[in-house]
Amino acid sequence: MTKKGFPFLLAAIMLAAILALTSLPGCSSKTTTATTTTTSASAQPIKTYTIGLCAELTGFLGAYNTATVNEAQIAVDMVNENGGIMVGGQNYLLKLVVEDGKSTLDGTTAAANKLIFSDNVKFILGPDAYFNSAVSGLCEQNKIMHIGGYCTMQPGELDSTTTYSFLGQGASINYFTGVLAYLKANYPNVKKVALTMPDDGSIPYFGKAVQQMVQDAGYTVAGSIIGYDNNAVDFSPYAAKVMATQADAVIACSGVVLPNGSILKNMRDAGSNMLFVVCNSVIPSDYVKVAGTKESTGVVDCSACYIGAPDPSPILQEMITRYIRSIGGTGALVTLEYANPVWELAQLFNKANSFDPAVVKTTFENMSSIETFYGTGTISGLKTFGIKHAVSYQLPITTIDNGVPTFKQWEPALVP
Amino acid sequence: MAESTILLIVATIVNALVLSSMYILLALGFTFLFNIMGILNFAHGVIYMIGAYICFYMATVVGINQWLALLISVAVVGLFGIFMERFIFRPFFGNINSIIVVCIGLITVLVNAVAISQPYNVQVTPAFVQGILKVGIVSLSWQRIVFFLIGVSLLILVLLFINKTKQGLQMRAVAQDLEGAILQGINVHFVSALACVIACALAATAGSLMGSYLSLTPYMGNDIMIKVLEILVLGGIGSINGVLFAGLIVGTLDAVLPIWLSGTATQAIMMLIIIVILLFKPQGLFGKEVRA
Amino acid sequence: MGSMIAARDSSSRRKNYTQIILYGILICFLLFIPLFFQSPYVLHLFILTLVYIIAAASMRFIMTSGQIPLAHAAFLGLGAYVSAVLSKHVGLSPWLSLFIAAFVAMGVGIFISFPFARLKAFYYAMVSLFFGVGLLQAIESLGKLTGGLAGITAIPTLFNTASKVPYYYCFLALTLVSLVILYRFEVSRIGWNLKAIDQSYLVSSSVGISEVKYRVLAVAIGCFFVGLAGGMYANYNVTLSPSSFDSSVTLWMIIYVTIGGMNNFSGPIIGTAVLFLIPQYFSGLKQYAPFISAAILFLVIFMFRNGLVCIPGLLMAFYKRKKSTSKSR
Repeated sequence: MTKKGFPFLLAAIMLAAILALTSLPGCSSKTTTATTTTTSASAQPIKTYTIGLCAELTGFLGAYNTATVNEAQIAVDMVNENGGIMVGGQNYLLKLVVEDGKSTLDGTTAAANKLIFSDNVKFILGPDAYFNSAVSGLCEQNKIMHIGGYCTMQPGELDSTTTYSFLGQGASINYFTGVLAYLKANYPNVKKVALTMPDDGSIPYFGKAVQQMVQDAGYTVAGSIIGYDNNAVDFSPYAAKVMATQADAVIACSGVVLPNGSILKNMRDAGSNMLFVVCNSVIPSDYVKVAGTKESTGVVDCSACYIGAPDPSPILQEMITRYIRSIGGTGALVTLEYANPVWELAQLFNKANSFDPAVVKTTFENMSSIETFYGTGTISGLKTFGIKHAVSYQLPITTIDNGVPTFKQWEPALVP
Repeated sequence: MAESTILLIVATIVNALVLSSMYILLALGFTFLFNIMGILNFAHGVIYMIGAYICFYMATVVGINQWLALLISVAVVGLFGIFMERFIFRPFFGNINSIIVVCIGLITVLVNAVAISQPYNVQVTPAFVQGILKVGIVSLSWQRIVFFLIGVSLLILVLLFINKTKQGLQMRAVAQDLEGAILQGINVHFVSALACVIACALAATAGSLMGSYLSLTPYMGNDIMIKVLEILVLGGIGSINGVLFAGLIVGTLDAVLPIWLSGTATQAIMMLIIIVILLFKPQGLFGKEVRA
Repeated sequence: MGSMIAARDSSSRRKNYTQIILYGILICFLLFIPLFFQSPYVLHLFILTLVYIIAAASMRFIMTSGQIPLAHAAFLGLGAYVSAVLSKHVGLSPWLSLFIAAFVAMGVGIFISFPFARLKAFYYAMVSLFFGVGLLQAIESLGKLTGGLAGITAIPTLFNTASKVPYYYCFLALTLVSLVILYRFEVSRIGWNLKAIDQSYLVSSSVGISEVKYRVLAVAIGCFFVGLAGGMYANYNVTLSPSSFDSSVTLWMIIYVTIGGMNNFSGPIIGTAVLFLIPQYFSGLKQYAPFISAAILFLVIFMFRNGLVCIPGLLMAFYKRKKSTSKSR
């Protein structure tokens, strides 16, 4: 049986694979025509327009991005229920097509390829974390407009060469600007700060920018940036390292909840009461869950996670109501990383009155402000990214003491 | 400056000890199954994850005491061990490639099922013990001390089990010579099912405890597998006491290396050290003669 | 004796003709794929399949010598990163860097396999696993050069075109050449010696087969081709990240080999084609898609213990049994 008939089998399997692939959902031309199918038989037919969303539905970002994709879908529903968008005198409803990037750069490249070549979209939103670099280059090559949801400032994510790429929210650098301004205004005793950051390749870029900003604000940076391994089983060695710097405060510049919360917990357990400053897309109460009630004290947090600030804008209120309804009860709102780009894109379509990426892009570049769920956002970023393509908006500052997060103020955080 | 150096040294020594005990706890179930029965359970990490989630659900959603939740999790996952023995290890005994295939299938199903069913929320099992112990300049949470004690006592229990009880001796007989064991009238299937139950129960214990120390994610089992394999091979195949020393070495390296190196480089250096040790002592620190 | 050889000759020649015809049909099919599929995305999937076929086939080649190379995905990554760094930062032509990557992977493979050759079965697997993890972490910790965990982007491509058709033909040719070379090695004296070492290294060394030499040779050949595959991947895919080469990818490569059939040269080819392409068909299921792969794994491993290649044999046996029972009736 070693060789008998195996070429035959090979041929048969290839044939089967080919036949299966001919009916591949993506490669059929149905989605292209979706732009012109009518969705209602009313007097004025309403068409749908498909936009792409590149998200990490599986892998380590899976749970988080499933929530942010849910928010994006709510934003699309809100746009559609407000009458959709009007382009060239024709009413359109938006339709979101989501592709999974599997939480890897290669997977995200494949997802972006699929969106561009198979789903034939002209506008791509997302992805998250440091995966923008996979999408920006492709979009530039194929003249597809791209609004990212996050940015770690690595090469190819957003710079002067990626003219078709935007940042729907200032992300890491936006949060950092906010928290640094708050620190400067409210904690005059802090002179020396330590910086921690996941060692995910962003230290030479985002880390360098952050270090410069801290020095510009008049602080001394204790030692070099403490990079930790995201996959470490235990973070106590890093906590020991932070404590050994004897700084007045430690700023966790980015990174997810587990490492940051664990470092906080280990520091407090070891008897340190150094001010712990965090800025990332994490719900403040999640730090309490990871670090424990007693340990979560002396924490300043700046993130786009709404925890009950007074007078939210009507659209944010609407978003919160729908989000809580969609997940069935409890649960905090996350960061609107994809919902804000959806909301911005809908405004851009109306304003540009076109579905041509080049026209929409020029419209975006000529605007100075745009509405977001967190109030009016400013379009800036020339100094940071070398291109005026980033939206930054006010962010809520929260402090956590004895396990209780308290909203402090809205911090106008403008990315330079 | 000197004070901070002393603090760092003390903290590192404490961390090394506590980390080692944590790693011993994590690796115990896996090394037990491999050393005694010669079964390589690639799905150990995912069983650890399931154990953690069951404990979390019992403690928060059902709302019973954490220690009781731990026992329930151990019982449920232990029963799953019987299933694993019957459908994975028995049909594919000795065929490592096929076991990899089935285990990866199992991992894919369980990890994705948990990932889909869980909302985006940080989930942490309520702490098993509260409070901080202060001795001089060292302060340490009671939780870590309890982990240390549980790890060491479980290790001693396992050693007693395999050396002093009838079932333990039967397991060693089966591992040494399968046919001889059958001829002696040992019920091989019963013995290997028992070993799987114990291994899964140990994994569930570790998972439940770590679920309160760290947080729960569907992927929490993936990262520990490499650590567990390091401990297994360093300790030496066929020796349970090797786990103690291998755990100490790996824990110490993990506590010390990050002081000088940043992030990912620690793992690279760590692997280099382990490979060098293994090249000079291929059977591990306490391993028996390499079988061909 | 002579007549026996002659008889075997004629039968094997007849089999050869059918084989050649079937191969011809298969290759024609593969050549016409870009005509069947206009969609660049489908072509993209076929191109990636070709890359993984080389990787899986080279892995199986090492496995024939009884070594389980759990660092194989890391070698794929090494090839990819070497080619990417050389073509992006040094400015070499991607065509040159592609082959340099293959030789670098081979060099590293030879370098480690001398000390590793004293390790037997399970220890070899584990130490190579640790080496793979360490190698990948080392690549990751190189900072700006490799982009760390986030990876490297804007790698120069082999062809200066957005179309995927030239890549398809180029990779098809490279894959076929690689497979033919691997096949020739396997049916040569080297291949038999490797299998002898796998069965018993004591017996094989007693008949004069140098165990270390042949084990190193197997790793060298395997690593060369996996490095080549890595280089192809890098200069086609434009982006790279370490997570595409971690230990779980190695385990998936073992799965490709096992599901296809470990005992047959075509095993990894079939396994890769089935396990890579079929789940893509269901990628519309999003988070539920991984269950399809798992279902295929369970189905195949419980129904066809020796992999998919044994299906024709089983069918033939079934057919023969049916014929014989009907005859006896």
